[in-house]
Amino acid sequence: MNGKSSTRMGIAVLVISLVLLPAWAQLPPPPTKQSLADSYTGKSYSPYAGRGFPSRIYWGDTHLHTAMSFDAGAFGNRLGLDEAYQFARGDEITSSTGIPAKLSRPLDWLMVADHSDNMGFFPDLLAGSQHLLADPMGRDWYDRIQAGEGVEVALEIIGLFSQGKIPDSLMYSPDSMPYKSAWQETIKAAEKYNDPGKFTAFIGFEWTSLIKGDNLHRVVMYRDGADKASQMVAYTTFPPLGSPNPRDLWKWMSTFEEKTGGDVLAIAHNGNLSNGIMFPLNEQYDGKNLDKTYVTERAKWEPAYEVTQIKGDGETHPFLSPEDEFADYETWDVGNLDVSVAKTDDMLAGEYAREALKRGLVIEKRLGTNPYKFGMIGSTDSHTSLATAQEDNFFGKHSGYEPGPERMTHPFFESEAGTLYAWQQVSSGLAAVWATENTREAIFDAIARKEIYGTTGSRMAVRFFGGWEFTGQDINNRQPAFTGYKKGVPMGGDLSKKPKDAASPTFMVLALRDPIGANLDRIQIIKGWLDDKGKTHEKVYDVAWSGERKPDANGKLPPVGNTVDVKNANWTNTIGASELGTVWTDPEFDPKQKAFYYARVIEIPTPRWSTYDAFRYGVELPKYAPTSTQERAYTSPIWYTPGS
Amino acid sequence: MLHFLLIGAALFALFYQAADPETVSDNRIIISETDIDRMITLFERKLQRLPTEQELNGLVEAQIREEVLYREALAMGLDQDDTIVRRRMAQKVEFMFNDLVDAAEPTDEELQRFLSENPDKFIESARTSFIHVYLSTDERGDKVKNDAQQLLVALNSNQASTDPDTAGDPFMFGYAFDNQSDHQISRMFGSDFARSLGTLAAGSWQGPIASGYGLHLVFINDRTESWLPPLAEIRDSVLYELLAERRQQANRAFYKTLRERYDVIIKQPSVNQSMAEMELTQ
Repeated sequence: MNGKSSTRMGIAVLVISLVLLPAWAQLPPPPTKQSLADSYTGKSYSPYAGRGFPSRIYWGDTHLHTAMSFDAGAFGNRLGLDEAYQFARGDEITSSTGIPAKLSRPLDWLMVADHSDNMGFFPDLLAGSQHLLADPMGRDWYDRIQAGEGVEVALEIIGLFSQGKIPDSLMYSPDSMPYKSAWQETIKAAEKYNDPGKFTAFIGFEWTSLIKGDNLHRVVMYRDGADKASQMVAYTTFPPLGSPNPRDLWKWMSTFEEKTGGDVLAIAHNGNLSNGIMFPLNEQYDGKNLDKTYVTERAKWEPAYEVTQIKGDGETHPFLSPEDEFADYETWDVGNLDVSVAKTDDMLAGEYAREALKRGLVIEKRLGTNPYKFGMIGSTDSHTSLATAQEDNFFGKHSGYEPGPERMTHPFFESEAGTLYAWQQVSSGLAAVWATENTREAIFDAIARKEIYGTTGSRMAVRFFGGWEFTGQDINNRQPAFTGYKKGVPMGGDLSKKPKDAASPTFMVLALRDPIGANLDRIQIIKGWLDDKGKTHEKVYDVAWSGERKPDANGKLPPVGNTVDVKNANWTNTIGASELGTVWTDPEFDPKQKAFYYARVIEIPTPRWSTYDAFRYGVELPKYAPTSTQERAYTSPIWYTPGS
Repeated sequence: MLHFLLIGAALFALFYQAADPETVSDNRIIISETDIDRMITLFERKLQRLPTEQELNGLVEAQIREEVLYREALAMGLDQDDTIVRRRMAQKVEFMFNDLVDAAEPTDEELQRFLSENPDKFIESARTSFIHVYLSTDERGDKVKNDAQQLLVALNSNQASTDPDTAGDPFMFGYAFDNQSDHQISRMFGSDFARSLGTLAAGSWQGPIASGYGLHLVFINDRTESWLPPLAEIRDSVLYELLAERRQQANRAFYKTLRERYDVIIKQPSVNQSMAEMELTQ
């Protein structure tokens, strides 16, 4: 690794304290060997025994579709549940379009979330159900298949189906589903591939709610295994058995938990395609006002939000965050999901995560609960059965966009209201979870307590802690996590009650780059707060960065540079830093105002997937596509509540 | 997305109706007792209770509506020349065939042979337990290699003044790793590190080896080599993999049989030629 010398932790703190913290008179001394030895609390005693906090990150995707989703199949996906799990755990498989595919590194966990509005399969004639074997025709088929005549039997059955000659007794018995339930298949596959400690497979589905084309989708994740999940079929969106209203989904989730003793949670995505209805401030999409039930139910069932995925990055929008030079990232703001209705500016505030976090503070004041107190993850929403989010290994949204020389030339979606181009697909995202072990229970619980973060496809390691007593010395600690958990709360947590003598909250943030990826440009902390007049605000602070850059007269840090060789789809790690970290104190803290803080870690520029395509296929770059991208991570926030 | 759901719903209805001769006739739509039983069962599975009279009437009306619209669509020939409908129907044939082949249960001999012929699928990774000292390239620049070599000598000389617990630079993921597979090590440090680690001797400080972050000195405490478990321990996995392979083979055979029923004419000489040369793998 050839790096320019990066910011020593001590220098970073020094610079920040000089520039941003004039009130902080005492500069931390540089670490001595003695102080290092002292701050390593685990030296003499086993540091691992009795440690309750998570020390590993587990990478996953909560949102993958296989050929079982009717739209995926319709677009040419021919890979089922087996291939999806095999690919995620690191095997090489052949894509639906015949391309050999493999992840750079396996995922640690996966949830296949096929659409619950799924028409299912042909009958499972060989479930071994009694009534089937009791019928002479059924028995004959069964026997012949056992004897190796599967092909002949299949042809015969097809013939009979098309003539309408399958006997009633084999089709409509009430105690055996006439159609093999796609739900049972989902559960079976998850149970098969779930390998506690090595690879976790979650049972789940996508509840694909659309309100006249406006997206209100959620994925539902089960902490449980087959015995509980099989008791109720997945909830759909078509009345009377289902509903597109999130309130009805939450009711269903409540019923499920009551009846089975199980545990489920829901994760929404694509607020950017909801045309404003994903994060309402006053009124729900059906005109009903937000009430106490809505906010408590939403807060209870939806602890996380999928902020970045193939159909656009949903952290914030340049219209909402005009001061944030990183806000216009993979923005999809043409319209709703099927582009039946164009986007207007007034919709944006109800669509993006940062604004939603701010709205949550307002609603909390009004109704007593914050419905948008969510952690952040990324996932793909890939419909190819391949969970690909890395720029150099992107297999597209669905099988019509698997790699090929033509895949960037056609519009992705076109209507009178607007056009989305194929190059606009985003090679994103991943979910990172700090969990105590790689099991369903540990990962689910981590999501529920929001000790999670999302990335746009890279695997940078990020720690974020908030407390009242972090000092610059804590960054030099050999086991910063010990200090982090001891003196504060991790990402997703609530700051403890403010001590009388504490002037401001302090935050310790550390990031390590993806071991096979790009260096880091900077770490930022984004603050949102509610003032005394009921208005919300946001501010982005650069808190740690690579190199010797200094903020300019307007407080803006210069860009890190760009080593991307567009023609050859290449870059070098000669800029940026492989690790960054700092302790930061809020310079404008008002203890009477509700606030949240989250960290955003940004890499140096690397080639975008469209640039890789242009290089690999020798085709032209799409006209308006960015040639490079700065991947990023978004941590879950830490909230401050006055008088808590 | 919405129109897919509608088409899907229509296909669903087709499926139920096509197999029940009673309902396919002129302009009569018949909802049989079995139909109603099925609606009630589905409802109960989803909502854990029986439908009310009003809800049941709603379900019946919904089915009638579907049938009406479906027949109108058929009459207008809407099922023709629709890519989505075609693909979906082709897929259904595939799905159906998949289910049928599941039944044949392999013998132990067959499982053992499959295991012996495909060890890669079942091999358990080597595992290593080690502690390490990290030297950051960012922090030390060109001096990192020298620093590492000096530190290595100091650590191996076992002087009290060189303590592995405080030597080197802070590393976010810690310093002691127990029983980690090659996979896990690659994920954290990069695959070069995992490969290099495999070449180091255990029981003394070794290195430096490189990760994605810098150089590391490593003390391997324990190592188990990769091993192939006996059939008895992994029978379920082997069974599943064998069935998966058989399913694929059966699919290919099935499709081949179907295709052979057709006289395929490709009106482009070059394509025709290259396909004739190609072995049909599907």
